[in-house]
Amino acid sequence: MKKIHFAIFAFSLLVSFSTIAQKTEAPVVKKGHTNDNKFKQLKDEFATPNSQHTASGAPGAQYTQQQVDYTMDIVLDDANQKLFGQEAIVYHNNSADALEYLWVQLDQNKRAKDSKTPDIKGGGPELLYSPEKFAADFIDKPFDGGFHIEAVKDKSGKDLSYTINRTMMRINLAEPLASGKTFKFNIKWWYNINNHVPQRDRSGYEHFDEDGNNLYVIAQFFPRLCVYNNVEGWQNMQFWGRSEFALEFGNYVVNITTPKDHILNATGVLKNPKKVLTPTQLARYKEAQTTFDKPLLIVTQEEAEKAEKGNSTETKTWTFDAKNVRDFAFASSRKFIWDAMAVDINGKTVMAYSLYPKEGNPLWEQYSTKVVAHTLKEYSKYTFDYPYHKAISVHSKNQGMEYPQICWNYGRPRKDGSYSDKTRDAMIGVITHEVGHNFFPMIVNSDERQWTWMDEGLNSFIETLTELSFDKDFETGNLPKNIVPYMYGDQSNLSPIMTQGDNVHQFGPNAYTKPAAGLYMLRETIMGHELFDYAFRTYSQRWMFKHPTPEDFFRSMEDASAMDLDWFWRGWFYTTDFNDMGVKSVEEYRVTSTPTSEIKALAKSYGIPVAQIRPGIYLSKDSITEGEPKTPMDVVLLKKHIETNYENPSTVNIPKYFYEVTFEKLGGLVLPILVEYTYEDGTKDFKHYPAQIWSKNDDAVKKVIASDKAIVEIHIDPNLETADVDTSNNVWPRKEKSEFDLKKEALQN
Amino acid sequence: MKRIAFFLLTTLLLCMSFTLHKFYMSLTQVNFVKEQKSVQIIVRVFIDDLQEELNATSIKEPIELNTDREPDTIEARFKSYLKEHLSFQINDTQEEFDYIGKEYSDNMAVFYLEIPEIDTIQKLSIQNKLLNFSFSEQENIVKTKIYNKHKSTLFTPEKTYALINF
Ligand SMILES: [Zn+2]
Repeated sequence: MKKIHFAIFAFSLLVSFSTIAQKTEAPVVKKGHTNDNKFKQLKDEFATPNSQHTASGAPGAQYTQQQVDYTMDIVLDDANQKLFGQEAIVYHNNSADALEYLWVQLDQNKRAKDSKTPDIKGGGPELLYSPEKFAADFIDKPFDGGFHIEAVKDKSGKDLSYTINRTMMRINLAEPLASGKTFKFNIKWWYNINNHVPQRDRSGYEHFDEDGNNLYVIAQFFPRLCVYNNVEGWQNMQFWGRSEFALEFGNYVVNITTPKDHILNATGVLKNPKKVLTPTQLARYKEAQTTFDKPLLIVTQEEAEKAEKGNSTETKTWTFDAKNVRDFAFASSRKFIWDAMAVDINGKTVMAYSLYPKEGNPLWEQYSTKVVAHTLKEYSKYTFDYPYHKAISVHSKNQGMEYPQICWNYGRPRKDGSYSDKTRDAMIGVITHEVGHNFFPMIVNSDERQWTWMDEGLNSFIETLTELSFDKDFETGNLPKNIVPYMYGDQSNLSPIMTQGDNVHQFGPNAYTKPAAGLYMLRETIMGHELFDYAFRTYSQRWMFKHPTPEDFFRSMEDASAMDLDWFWRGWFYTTDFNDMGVKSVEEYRVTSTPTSEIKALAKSYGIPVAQIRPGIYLSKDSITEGEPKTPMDVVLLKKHIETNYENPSTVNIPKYFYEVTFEKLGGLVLPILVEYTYEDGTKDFKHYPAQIWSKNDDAVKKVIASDKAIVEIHIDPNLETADVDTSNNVWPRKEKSEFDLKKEALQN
Repeated sequence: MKRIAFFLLTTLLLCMSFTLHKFYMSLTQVNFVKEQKSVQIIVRVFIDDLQEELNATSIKEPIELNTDREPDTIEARFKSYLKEHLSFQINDTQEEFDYIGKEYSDNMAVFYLEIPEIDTIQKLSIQNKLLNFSFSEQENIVKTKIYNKHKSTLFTPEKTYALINF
């Protein structure tokens, strides 16, 4: 680039030139190539837009979405750890298509004796076996999990034909369900509830030996309809255990029968608090609805400790009514303490609740509900006002798992009640994250079976902003600098973010940290808060209660901001490239009127005598010769120009120092170059060269910097904003003392 | 993911919907500074992984790292753990490194080690078994910069040894 420019410029300055020597060369056959520019538009990668998912990234005029309503009677058999259910399903076919069958998800079958999930796990023997693990692997029969489907009947009670393919069940319809019609049917089922602790399952129970109680966190517990949408048809990829769920929205009425001394909460509005709470608890429950300043106990620790000593054989039934949710989950135990606080979301009251056993205290009474409240407020700023009436955080050992309006979170103090800052921060982090999932994917309902990053990545990103507003020094682990070790890792162990969840290497950094760090970079460094936030909010509001695809996100972010970000999506989401920039060299120039050796050489190559080069201004690094100008104003041509064209020539600021800085790019990503220039007087300038600086040269670019003060340091990305994997080449001049030398001195003192 | 069984209760399996970092790697930078006759080594590992590994490889009471309960004797533990699991042979001679110290930064423990009195390096062999006992997916990356030659070597529990010639 620079070379061509230089030549053209030089040409125009030449007074005359003799005929250019024509060289005749044998024609060279050069191979062409396709467009491999990093800024190439993503048209090949993106699905073609249509009237369902539009080119702007919004739902189109012909976008459709199914609705599924459930009425369920559930019985929790605490004595035998079994769950029984009867569900009446109303399936609304809002699509334009006739459906020959319906697909239902049987997630519990992942734990069935004939589950294929263990079969796809490769690997040699463990290094060391505990007796429990040895027995589990080689002696014990597998856990007898999975659904026992007792009946599948139509609304008139006639048996329906169905076929089970592992975690998926096809309901074979006698005649296709026409567009706009509904289909009503019933399923009766039960299953053995698993202990979730050993295998870290998403749902199940934890058993407390000390008091003999179980703490249940129950989810994926009923046969749920698969999504039928405009891009996948039926989303009936098997549930292998990792890639999570795709679900339709609908309305739920659920009755749950538990032992009489249990405390329970669930998705939806509790319809019969008078029946299930004591009068005292009911009074506190009501008082909490208007208590905004601090959590209020509805069930106290004293009451919970009393309850956990009992073992009632009587039952009670809790009734919940949930509108427009994509799923339903509940938690139940004698051990639960319950606290509550009202939260004001732009004038609307939302309840923040926590359920925890005494083992969670004192950590939980101090933090959980407050973190729920803070999370709802912060997420509402970046997306939309939280539309549900409550959000619950349930204490559950080693877990972090999300459902509509309710989630399970870890964070247990030591036995003596003390806890480290690390335990506290991990708990604040997980509660923020799981409550945040109410927004992604519970409301902005992306397909988790296909794209883990769409909910985990977006959620981890807003989680990061939320944690930093809770405590500006919070170690979120999701900043660009935190993803460096992963991005610098061995390529054979990396996958592009745009990979289906089951096939991803290093799931955590791939689907959580990298997208979060990328969006953080986009907001803080590339787009700025104003453009980013408007576009992100646009995406969130466009896809509230709908099923977005990755393209809907990418397109919305561009459509609402007027920023072409294809290069960013391509590099960060579609490849495993990393960023490594450096200051390759810095050369100093002075202003002169003496032709430089470069222009002389150019002139010579065209046979032009030096004397015929038209007078000009040069930036030169040749050694200074006799009689050359000392300052820019000594250059007659420049002086004349200034005196003729400027009103007040003496005040014109002419730079004295000129540098040619070569920035090199050793990584495959294109990103902005962020440069801090430090001058001799200690002042600094910060310069942001947009990523497009790399659009025609992917390896190195040069910039000429003019300044009236000498530059003493040039530092690329001084604030670690761009996940540069090697910062040792980021500073000019190279530090005399290495990081190691400096640390050694510090550590030895 | 496969992790060693004994610690199953405290380790993260990949069915979770939340992550603290969930990737198992360490990064070691080895620079030969000829003027100082010094091989300078910086090792970065995740603090919680290291805690788990130290507890896994010891029958003593479990310890906590980077909390108010971190034992006073921890530097000696670190030193002996590193000596056992990371070693360097230069020109066919086993070279002991000096343990200079560590700092905690962003969930990571950063160790500074140095092998002094090295005149030349023709051959460098590295044994790296960091965190292999607890994490079968552990990925240990060693980046060497010796005579302006950059090289990156991956170590896994299956491949704990590498030889680099100069
Ligand atoms: Zn999550």
